[in-house]
Amino acid sequence: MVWFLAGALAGALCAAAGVVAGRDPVVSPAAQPEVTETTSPAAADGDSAGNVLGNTEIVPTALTQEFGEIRLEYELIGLGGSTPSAVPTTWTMRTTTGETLETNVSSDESRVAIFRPETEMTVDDIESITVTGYAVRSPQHYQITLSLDGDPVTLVDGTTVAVRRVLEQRSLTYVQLAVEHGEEAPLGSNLLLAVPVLIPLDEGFEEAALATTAAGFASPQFRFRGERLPDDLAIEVESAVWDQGPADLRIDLTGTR
Amino acid sequence: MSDRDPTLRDILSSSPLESRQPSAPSAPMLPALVAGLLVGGLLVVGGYVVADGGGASATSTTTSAPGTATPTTVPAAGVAGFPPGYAAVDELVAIRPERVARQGDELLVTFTVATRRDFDPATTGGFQGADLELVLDPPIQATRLVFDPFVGGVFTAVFPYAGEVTDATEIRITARWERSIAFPEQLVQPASFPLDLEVGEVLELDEANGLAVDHVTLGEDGGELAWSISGEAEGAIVTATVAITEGFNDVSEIFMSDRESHPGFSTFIPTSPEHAQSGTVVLTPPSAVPEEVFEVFVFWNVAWVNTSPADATVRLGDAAAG
Repeated sequence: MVWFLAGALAGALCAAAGVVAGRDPVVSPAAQPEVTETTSPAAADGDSAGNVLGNTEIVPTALTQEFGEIRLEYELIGLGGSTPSAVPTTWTMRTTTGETLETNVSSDESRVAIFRPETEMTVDDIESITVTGYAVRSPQHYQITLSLDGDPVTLVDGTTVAVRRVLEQRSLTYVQLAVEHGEEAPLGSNLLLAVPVLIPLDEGFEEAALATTAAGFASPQFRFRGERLPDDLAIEVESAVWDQGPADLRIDLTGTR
Repeated sequence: MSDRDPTLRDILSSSPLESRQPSAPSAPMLPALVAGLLVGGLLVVGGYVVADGGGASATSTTTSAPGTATPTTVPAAGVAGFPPGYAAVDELVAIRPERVARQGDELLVTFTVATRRDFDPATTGGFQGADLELVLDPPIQATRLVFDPFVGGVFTAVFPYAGEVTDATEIRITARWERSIAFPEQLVQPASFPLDLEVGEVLELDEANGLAVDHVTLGEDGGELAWSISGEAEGAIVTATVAITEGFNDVSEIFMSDRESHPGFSTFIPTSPEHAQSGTVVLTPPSAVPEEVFEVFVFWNVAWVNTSPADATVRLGDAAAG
């Protein structure tokens, strides 16, 4: 498939070159690409692309240089009053000398992108700052089946859950879980449900027997008081994870320096 | 590159959850490369001919800001009044798909919601849900919507992952919802325990809708409350709690709560069985057996939906694999 795509791209380039070389030099208006200004602020009614990610407008408030760091401070505003549910996560800064610096934020509550250049520079040396990745808060509610055999199940956010062991006591059985987070750590947040919560659905589990998969909760477990533990546990998963994906949004820095 | 809209299969193939093996050049490479060359060339020539002859405008463009060497690709402006890629649910609210993921036999599509700046949340309800379908033949309807209890402006539509679902390139909005909620209280008479009573009382929800309480049973093993919706609502989710007070001077209360009352944050589409015209609330056993019953209260929690037709389509091409 990769080679097919590479071939397709090469073929497209060759064909495009041929088309351009052989076509009428007068281009009809209809064939001209629609040019969208990428650096204009969002229009009052949101008609422009502006500094918009998903339903969230990034409003840069200050671009400063302090202690060798370049800091871009910004606000996030939900369009038309809706709650911002998209946040920038990775940024790239390009300098007038062609140097490229990257940085990322670790929390959905962050409102500053900090670049640490290796050489002395000022904000006047900045050519552009671009958001290259953003996260969307993604509410999820679905069911999985956990086998007592310990077979792992991968959740939407990449977290893997499995039954680690079953501890039987006189009147209570503990079902302990093993949780491994995916390669991409979840954004730090003080909002609830930023990591999946697991709720057993079978009868016999205590009503409040839900388990968070958050890092720091070393041994999530369910408490079972029924007569016989099922071999396969029906588990409800609730979460509102910050789901990360690519972006390509050049920020309008007008008025920030 | 092909100029066709990406399908769900294209989007999901980039999911980090998909196991991908490192590829190396192999014998089939050459035929694929040659085929790609031919297809790519044909598509560009074909696309040029179509665009030049038909006058179609580009849906996205590459532009370079003055003084930069870094091209930036942005989608062209979408529906007037909303950011690019958004499809209007009504005059004030629009939605756009952001992330697509597969979980077991379900497909999860997360949308963001944008509202116009003249939207007034004090007088309008904003986005309260919609009937959504993957544009296929036949279309595949969403089975439920999942809302975030802590952050507005985002929801996830859940579709069955079956059939030709990965061929879809668009989602159509076929109806918009107007959700309402009410918490009527009911004093059941005559009060007794156990209780087996034909009630036939209609509790007012609003001017157009009511909750008919048909039958109430209470006992040591639990209870049941049979209800039905009267009015224009197309469906409702109903939960309830019963409080029993003992004796005239004794204010102790013995609660019986809905056995299935864990709310979660899924909202089932109005026509699904979970969002029904009638149903039965099944109660857990009381915390203690009342000795002398003075009053029986039912605290209802009713969420109902009215729908109205809509017709808008949103492309999946702007979404990324979650």
